[in-house]
Amino acid sequence: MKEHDSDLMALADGELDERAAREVEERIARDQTSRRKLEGVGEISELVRGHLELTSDAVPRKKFDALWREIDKSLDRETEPVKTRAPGFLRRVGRWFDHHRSHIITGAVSAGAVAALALVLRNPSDGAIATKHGPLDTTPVVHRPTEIESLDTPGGTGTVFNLEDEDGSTTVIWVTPEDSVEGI
Amino acid sequence: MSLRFWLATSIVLALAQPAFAGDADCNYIEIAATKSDKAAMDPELKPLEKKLKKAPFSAWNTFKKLSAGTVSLTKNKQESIRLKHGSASLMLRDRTEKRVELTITKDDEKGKRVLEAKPALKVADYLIVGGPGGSDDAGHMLALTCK
Repeated sequence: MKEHDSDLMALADGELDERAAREVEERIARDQTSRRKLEGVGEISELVRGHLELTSDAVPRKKFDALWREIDKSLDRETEPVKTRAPGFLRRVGRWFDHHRSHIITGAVSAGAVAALALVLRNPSDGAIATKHGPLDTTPVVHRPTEIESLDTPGGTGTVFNLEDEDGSTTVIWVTPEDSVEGI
Repeated sequence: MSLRFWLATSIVLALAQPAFAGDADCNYIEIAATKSDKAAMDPELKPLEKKLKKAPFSAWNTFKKLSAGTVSLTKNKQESIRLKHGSASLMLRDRTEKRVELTITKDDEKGKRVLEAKPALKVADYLIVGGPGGSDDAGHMLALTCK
């Protein structure tokens, strides 16, 4: 290919600037061979363009549709907001304990203090009695009948006794007047 | 108040020993005991029937309810009970979950004090205060139980 031919091809493709195109056109006007070459280049270009268009039309429409669907999906994935899964029950409980750890510790310490106080202030008669020689084990009384802390029977005599049965204990205070001939 | 305060308070309260308002309700029954040819027990004395059939009450065979009622006691406040024969008074001195500490007085029909006692009564147990009543061979009792 001569240098002149490349100018013809560039002209046919519209790749020359205005001044170069004018020079090549003037040369073609004077040279019949060059004019025929330009016409041949134009025909070849038409043929190639037509072939490409036919090839693209030969691609099945289904393939295009599938291609567009893929493109749409990928676009949707990019624009879709990120969905986060709701945490499970145990996870929520764990989080709650994490957030309230100081509260729980405070409550547990308070409870321990109360328990310690209850142990310290407990009535010794409930369990062991402290002595010089160490604690003395005692056996708790299963049933304590009514206790009479004081009894005053002016002008008479008081007698206290217990009646036991399956319903429990009954304490009796019997008052016998002094002028009575016979008591119970 | 912070959540921490309320959490600690609720735990302390939950662990605290049961507290009592310091009140007690006492049921009383005034009973007349006599001996007759035909034994009779007032149906309202059913809770005391087993006890009244034991000695020394077995000396009588007829038991009649004269009066009954419930007295609500507040600590250190004396409550009077008007009986068919005489009167009585109750005062709550102290109480725990299982025991009720009382001061009991009993006056005869003439208003003469015949008894003043300070029992520590187990809850639901009975205390019977009695003595001769009316005729020589009759008995007069005041049965008491508290909760």
